[in-house]
Amino acid sequence: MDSPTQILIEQLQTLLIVLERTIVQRQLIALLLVFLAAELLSFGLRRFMRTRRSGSKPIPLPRRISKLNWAGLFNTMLAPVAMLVLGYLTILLFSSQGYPAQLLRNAMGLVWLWLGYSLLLALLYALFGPGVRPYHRRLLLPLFVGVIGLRILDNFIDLRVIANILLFRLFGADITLGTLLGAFLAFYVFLMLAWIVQEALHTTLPRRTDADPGVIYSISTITRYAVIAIGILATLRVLGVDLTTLTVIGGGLSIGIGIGLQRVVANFISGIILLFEQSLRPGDVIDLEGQLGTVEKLNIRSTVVRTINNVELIVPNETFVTTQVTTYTKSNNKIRIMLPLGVSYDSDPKEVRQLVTETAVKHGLVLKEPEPTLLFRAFGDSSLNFDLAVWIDQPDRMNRVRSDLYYMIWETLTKNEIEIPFPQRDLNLRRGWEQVTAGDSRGAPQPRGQAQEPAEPEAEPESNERS
Amino acid sequence: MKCVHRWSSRLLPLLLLALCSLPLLAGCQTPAAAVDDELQGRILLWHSWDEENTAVLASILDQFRTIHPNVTIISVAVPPEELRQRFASTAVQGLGPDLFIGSSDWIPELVRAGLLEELSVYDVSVLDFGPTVISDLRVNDGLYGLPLSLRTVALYYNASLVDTPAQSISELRNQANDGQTVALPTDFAQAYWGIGAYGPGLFRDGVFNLVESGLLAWLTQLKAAQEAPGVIMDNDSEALLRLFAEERVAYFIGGSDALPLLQEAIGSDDLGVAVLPGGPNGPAAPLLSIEAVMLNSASSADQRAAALSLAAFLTNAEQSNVLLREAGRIPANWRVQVDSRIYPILAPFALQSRAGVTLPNTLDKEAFIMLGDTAYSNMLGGVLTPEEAVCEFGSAVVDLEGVDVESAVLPDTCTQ
Repeated sequence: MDSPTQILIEQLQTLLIVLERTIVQRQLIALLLVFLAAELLSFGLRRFMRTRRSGSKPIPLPRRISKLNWAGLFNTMLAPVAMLVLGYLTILLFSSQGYPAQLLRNAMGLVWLWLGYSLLLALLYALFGPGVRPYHRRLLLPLFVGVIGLRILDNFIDLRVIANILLFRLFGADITLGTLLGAFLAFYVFLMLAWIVQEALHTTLPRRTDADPGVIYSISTITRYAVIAIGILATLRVLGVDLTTLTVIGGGLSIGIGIGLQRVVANFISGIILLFEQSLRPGDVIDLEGQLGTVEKLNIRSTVVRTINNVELIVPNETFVTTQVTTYTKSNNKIRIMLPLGVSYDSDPKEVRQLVTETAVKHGLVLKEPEPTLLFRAFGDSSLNFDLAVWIDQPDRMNRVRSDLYYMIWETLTKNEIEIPFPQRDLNLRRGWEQVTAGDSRGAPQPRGQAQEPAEPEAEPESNERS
Repeated sequence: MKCVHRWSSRLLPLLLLALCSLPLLAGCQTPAAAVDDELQGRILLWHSWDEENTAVLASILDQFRTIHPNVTIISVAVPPEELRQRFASTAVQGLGPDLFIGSSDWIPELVRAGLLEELSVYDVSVLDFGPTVISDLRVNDGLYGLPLSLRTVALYYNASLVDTPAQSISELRNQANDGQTVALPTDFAQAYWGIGAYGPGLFRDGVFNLVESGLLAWLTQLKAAQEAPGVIMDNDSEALLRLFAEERVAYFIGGSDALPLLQEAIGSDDLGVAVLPGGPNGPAAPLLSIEAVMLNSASSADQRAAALSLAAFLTNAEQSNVLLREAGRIPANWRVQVDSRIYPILAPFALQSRAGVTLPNTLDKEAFIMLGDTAYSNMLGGVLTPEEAVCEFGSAVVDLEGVDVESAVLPDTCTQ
């Protein structure tokens, strides 16, 4: 049996053989010229139309298409249409000269495909807007490029021979380039299917049910992983791997997995527990080891938490199952935040309560119900101590609200001449004040070498606080 | 959409540029060996031979490479049922092999499509081949292939059941009456051989003529043989082959392609092959199937020269001998002596092929054979008498495209 390298070299030789022929060269060069001419023509026409349009700034293509205006459609399909027209004219020219043109005819088939693809995209963007882009990039574009590439290659080399190149054996199955490609395709299809199903569930479930977003997320994620699991099995089938053999080997490997990958498995299981238990959901605001953050995504092994500093933490799922985590949004989003503050003993507590609660209510994120309350906590050493209790329903903005409120309260109290006291320290000197004042003159720098005698402590500090 | 545009704008020109620049690369060849040889270049050969025969072909190609070291030959095996269509669909684009080994029956259609290179314009000698064989490779006097090997039917017999194989049809019938069993395929192509044994063939100089042909006499004989106790007739030749392989019948009329199976089933000692039994008009004249080497008209001048040289090399007496010896292929080259002492099984096939006939290339052969099948089955099924079957067949053939109608003559017994 020929080695893969030999087969590939033979296929390359085959390609070179056909490319040595005048008939083929003539058609390929004509095709290239037709393509360049079509591109130039479409480029020129686009520029011409742009300059004629009022307001010379070009409108982005997706926006144009989303409106399904004729100019957008025209622009999208101009190049393939121009190539078709020029291509068929070239074929006519070839026929009139008695030159074979079947390769050109086949190429026109690909251009029709290009035109159809462009039309499909234009319509999809028109119907669904920019939301089509992920489907376009992940599904349609690879499909289009794959089909075009394979059809071009199939003309020149024997793809079946290349597909039959034996790469290695896996669990008793011969893995050829073809089966590997097939398996990759199968897995890709299932991956796309999983993604589409998840997106569909995300889109349709909230509309049709009043289910909790977290539940919807869990359902869609579990469905996605189920589809991927089926995809893996299908991929193994495509590869020709005997699943019974795999089960036996899997049994043996489980010991190794148990030892070497126990953390990964633990995280994996924790991920499933979190999804089913619903103890944590995307959007939850949590306090994780002193860091406030929002749960962004629950993956099967880890969870992505975005902190208020916009830092993404990738936290192993096991953490949430085995340690205590504070969540502000488990059953509802309302949380109470307490802001300690103190005012002078000269202030009227009732006036302070009125001013502070009225100020708190003015903050847009502070809930009216339950209303803000100023709790008189204690007679402090230097102030009357209060706690302002306000409720908010956006726990992730807790720190922001707190800061805003302090600003607002300070302003209000200042405006109303209510003193916010702070501890002050008086230093009373029993004797030696004169020496201290006289010491100003002695405090001048001494010449080098003349060490200054350490001063005897003459004064004992006596401190007491006063307001 | 921007992305598509970007992709299509970048990818397609790149692909096209790559394809268009490859011809330049194609011009770069490995440094030629220091051998004074005009032939050079790369050529692609397609065939549909099995693994064993492919190995024989590879050894022949190696010999060719030794003589012409500047020629690179890529040999590709294509499934037999795909070869014709794949050649037609690729050659029309200028692609496909530079030469291929296939049935001569494909020549008329491929010539009409302009896909085969005419060999008459080159210095190609056909003196080593029989005129019947060469005529099958011609269209409008142009030669479009070189014959490589022949396939025809012969009389298989089981030596443990038959002492001496029948020499004539009457002898075969007598043996059948005496208790021997004969498996006789009755499809038109397989049972064509008797027409020549009972009179002139259906075509003389390419002109269809039933007046003096042996068809009526042959059909009459077949009808009579149908009544013989030991004759098993069926148009399913595979079923009859199985009967013979299971040693349930003493005779079987079949092609050389059944040899490997029968040698394995019966054993080389008991398997015998003889030429088909003759008739009053002379030896049997079975239809010949010719395996030929044909050239793609799209090849470049260098490729064509190398391909032509290889075609001549493959079909020369020395390589035909190799193919006979190692692949069991009946040579089309008359210079090859198939000695019955060395090749007791193959020699009768070679001898039989000398008496073989071909159908004119102007004819739609498939349609013609289909009409023959209908006539045979209607006659053997009792729907028509032999005379009626001949008339019906003749009338239908006259209406076929490509038959020289003016000269076509039906027997007097046929009412117009």
